[in-house]
Amino acid sequence: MRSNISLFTGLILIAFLVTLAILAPVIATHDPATTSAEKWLQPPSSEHFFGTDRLGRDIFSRVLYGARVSLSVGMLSTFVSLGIGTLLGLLASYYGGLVDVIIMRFADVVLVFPSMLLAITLVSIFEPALWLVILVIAGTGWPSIARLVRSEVLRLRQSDFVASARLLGAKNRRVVWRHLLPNAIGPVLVAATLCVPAAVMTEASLSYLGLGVQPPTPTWGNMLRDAQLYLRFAWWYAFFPGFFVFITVFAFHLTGEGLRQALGLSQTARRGWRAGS
Amino acid sequence: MRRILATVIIVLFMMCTGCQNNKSTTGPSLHVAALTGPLTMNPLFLRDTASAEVAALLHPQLLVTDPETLLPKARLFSSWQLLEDNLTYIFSLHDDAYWSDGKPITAEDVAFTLRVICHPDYTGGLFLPLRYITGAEGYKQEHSSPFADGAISGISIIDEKTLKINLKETYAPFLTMLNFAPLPAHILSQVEVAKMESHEYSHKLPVSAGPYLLAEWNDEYVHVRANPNYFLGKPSIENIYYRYIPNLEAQLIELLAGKLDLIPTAVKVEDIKNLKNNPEIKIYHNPRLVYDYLALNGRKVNSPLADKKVRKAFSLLLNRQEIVKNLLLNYGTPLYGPLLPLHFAYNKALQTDKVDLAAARRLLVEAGYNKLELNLIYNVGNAVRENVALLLKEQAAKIGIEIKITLLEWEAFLAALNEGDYDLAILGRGVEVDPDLTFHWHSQSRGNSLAYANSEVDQLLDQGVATMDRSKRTEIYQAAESIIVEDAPAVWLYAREAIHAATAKLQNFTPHPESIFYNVHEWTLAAEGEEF
Amino acid sequence: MKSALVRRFLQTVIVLFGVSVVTFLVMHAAPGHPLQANPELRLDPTAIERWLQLRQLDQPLIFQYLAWLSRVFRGDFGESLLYNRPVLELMGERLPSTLLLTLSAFALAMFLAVAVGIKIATQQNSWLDRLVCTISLAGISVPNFWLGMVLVLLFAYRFPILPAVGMRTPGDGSILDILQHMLLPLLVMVAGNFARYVRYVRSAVLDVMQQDYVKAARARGLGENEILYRHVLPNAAMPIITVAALSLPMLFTGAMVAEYVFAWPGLGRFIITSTMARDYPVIMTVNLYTASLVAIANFIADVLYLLIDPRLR
Repeated sequence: MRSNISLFTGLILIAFLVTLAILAPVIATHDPATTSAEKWLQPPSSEHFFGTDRLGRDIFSRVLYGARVSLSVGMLSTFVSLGIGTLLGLLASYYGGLVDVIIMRFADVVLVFPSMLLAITLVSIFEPALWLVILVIAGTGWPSIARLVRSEVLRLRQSDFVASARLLGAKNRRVVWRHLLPNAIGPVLVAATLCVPAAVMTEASLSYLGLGVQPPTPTWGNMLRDAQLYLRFAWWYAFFPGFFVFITVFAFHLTGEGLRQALGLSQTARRGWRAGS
Repeated sequence: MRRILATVIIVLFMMCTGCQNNKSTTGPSLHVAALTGPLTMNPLFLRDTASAEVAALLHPQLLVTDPETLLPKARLFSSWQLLEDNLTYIFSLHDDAYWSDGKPITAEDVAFTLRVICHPDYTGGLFLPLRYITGAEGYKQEHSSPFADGAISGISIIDEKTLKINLKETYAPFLTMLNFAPLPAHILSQVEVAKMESHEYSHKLPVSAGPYLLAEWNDEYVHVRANPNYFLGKPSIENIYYRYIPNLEAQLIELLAGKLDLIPTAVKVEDIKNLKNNPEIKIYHNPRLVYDYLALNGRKVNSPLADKKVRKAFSLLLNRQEIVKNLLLNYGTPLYGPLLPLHFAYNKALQTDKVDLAAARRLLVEAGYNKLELNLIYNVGNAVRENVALLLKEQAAKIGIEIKITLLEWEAFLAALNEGDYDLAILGRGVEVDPDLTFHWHSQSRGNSLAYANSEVDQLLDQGVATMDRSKRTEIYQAAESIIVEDAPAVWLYAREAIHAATAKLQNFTPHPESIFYNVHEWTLAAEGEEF
Repeated sequence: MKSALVRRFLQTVIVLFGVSVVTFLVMHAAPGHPLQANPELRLDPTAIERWLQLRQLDQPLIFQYLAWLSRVFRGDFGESLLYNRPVLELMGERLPSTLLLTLSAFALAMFLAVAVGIKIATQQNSWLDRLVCTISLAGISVPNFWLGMVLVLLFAYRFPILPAVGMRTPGDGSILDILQHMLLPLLVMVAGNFARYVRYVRSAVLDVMQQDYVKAARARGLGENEILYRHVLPNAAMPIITVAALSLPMLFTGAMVAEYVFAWPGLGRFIITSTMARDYPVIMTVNLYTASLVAIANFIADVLYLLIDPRLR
């Protein structure tokens, strides 16, 4: 029962956030880039719902546009790591032998770096940019997916229905596409849903450290970075972007949890665990 | 398991507190904020602001400059004399100057330090002005021993406290360049120059001679203690803690909570009003030797900015007085040329604001352009420049120039500047204490990042450093400046002041444009409850 | 059993080698060195050239890598390019303050998580269970730097009872003083870690409770308390200890972002600032060090798994 409530709430929140992001140009009350020297750091009002920032820009509008960046970083990087992870996981489990060893050892190498450290190292070396942030986050996320896909496939391979499909003369490729993948999709879906909040959080942290998406593109992380210098006289400056990071991450976690319980998957399996950064 | 953890945590507490026990604080203390910590205590390898600031506490400069006139002033060299030939200087060291181990500071220490700087393996940034010393360039190229031994022909020791330095040609700014501190020869003469930067001296600093001596340097703060034998008298504030707090907001919170006494780096203009109303805090402004400008790059192929008329049009777009008033809240000076108000050669007559959009438009049309599209770059993290960029975009649109703004991270910004891959750039520039414009505007100078070249200016600048008379130099530099301004390689914007916030208890605080600790030995703290 | 261990050990070594190659290549893929990365540095081109020569940074990549590797085998991790001091010395100086913070946070979070996690697992789906689950989910979702900012604003400015940053008041540094400084960063770290651990403990306990032997014990009429202490907890302990082992690296590298926000003078902040400044020797050593810790932690976790689950042997 409860799982349905989490799933439901999570999905509603996500839908709400995605709508905000897509309709940002319609909903926004101001241009997110227009500055005004007379309107520095104004508190929330009927004209500026979330107040204004250090350059007099409307925070409400910037948060909306920031949602576009944060959500696309979260989802795109998840798609990329899902793609790479699934492909490599399938290859490893399908071919086995040397291919398996090479792919899985490479995944191990990536996995032993705390993701935040790896991201900081990569981003500080290259020029920070939106696509790089997406790639870096995807680059740290794919190994867990690959591992998961591989172990799911190996597990299912032993199972009865695949064996019977083979007995019935199904080709290997057909076995993978028609039988293995659909059955492995549940756990992978949960893992992917939980990838998004991690990505949103990593993007926010990187931007907060000045290593993420660069201004003037508004993102929640670099708004927070700006805001930390005005904490004392502009609480709204830091509050709203941070609150949206929280709500987004929370929504995806709720959904992931809900899915996990709906699919009857256990949490104790060692694979989802990674030491925090 | 839990018991083990608890034990470990307690032991760690002991480790973190233990090192403090024998260093308990006595006497008055001053807590100074910094954005970053220093990297070295070695006065010859200062590459960052924090190291330079801490060095001003720990080391005595040979000469300083007056904070108001920027003219050379005695410090460790108690007096100097320039002979008739305008080439030979005789320097006398302060009689009471001793190293903290009791040995006197001698002419040999200074000569040794100069040899280190001129040594081929020296990697700090002090050599350029010393190349005027006779024999210095030869030493740099030919000295073969890894130690700073041997001799430079232009440097001779007259007696224990007197040194003679001979220049190969007249170089007027020379004295202002002697703003570094000597190394103790008796400690370091047996160390290879290549290893000097990583020598234990650079982080333990066992021997020094400044107003303060190093007590502790960790990842949170530098603790220095008053030097009882400082040659200008023991400072009255016993302890100074130089704390690194990377977040300006946290610095202010700590200042308001009374946990910090002095914030030296750029208090935000938004804060000033609040702080001014606070009776416990005093605000100081300190003009700095830095200005912001708009670079106009005509070096790109077919660049419209190669045409002087287009460049001149840009100088008619911005009202600098308004910028200073609105964006800097008057903490700065509008600027119309490369010399700063602090320089003795500064030309007040240049101070006319001329915003004339019609004239700018006319210049543009005369140059044969109806519409233009240009890109503008600047680096992240400077709100004032951000606003100037937006203002410029707005103004330029009115005369038919569309400006595309690109914000860049520092490294990308530097790369774009070096490769000349931009049309317009807003950036800052630090200048020397001496009004000499050679570094940035002489066609042969490595510091000429705008690739400005005008043979007339080159001639004037060469003449400027070869002239000792100050009023003649003023004429020369003002002449050079007006030619540069006429050529319009840039639009000068403003010289921004540093704003320091300090507890009202701090007295006699006279910051220098280049160093907040300029007169640290004279600072005092009014006692609690005292009227101030 | 033995051969499985040996295999895992060899894998760990290979992974570490891979790590060293990857870090090195990545670090040197982009042009630039610390003297360029720091906008404040005063530069003299010839001096920089000499500086690069003296540090062999002008040599070909493969030469630099081999030189570095051979020095590492001799226990020499090089000198920081910024501080010109041995990297290990710099890291060693920062380790105690990191350990103090992370161990305290870990102990506190784990203690609370075990206590609360067992409690709510035995009352599955009660209001308490739901409350804790929701709160912990929220706890995972709060950006720790944002929480840090909010706490600083509240407790250092609005109600100025705690220091905003740092570990010690210079000149004081008593245990009480350090405790005061530690409170806010500790709170931030415990909030995040407790949220993670408590969900884990809860499901570990629930997993065991659904096992047949627990059901059998219940059928035999044993009391709930007895079942909990005799059967459930000993079996749920192993996965929890495994998670503790996997948290090991974090204890030694520090919580990077939390240390950065509170200017805590530990390894985490050192790692961030050195990386931003492109201090190669530090970055190389730190990456190798961190990756080794994780690899070792994984190895320990695997050994534990082999011990508790004979089927994996």
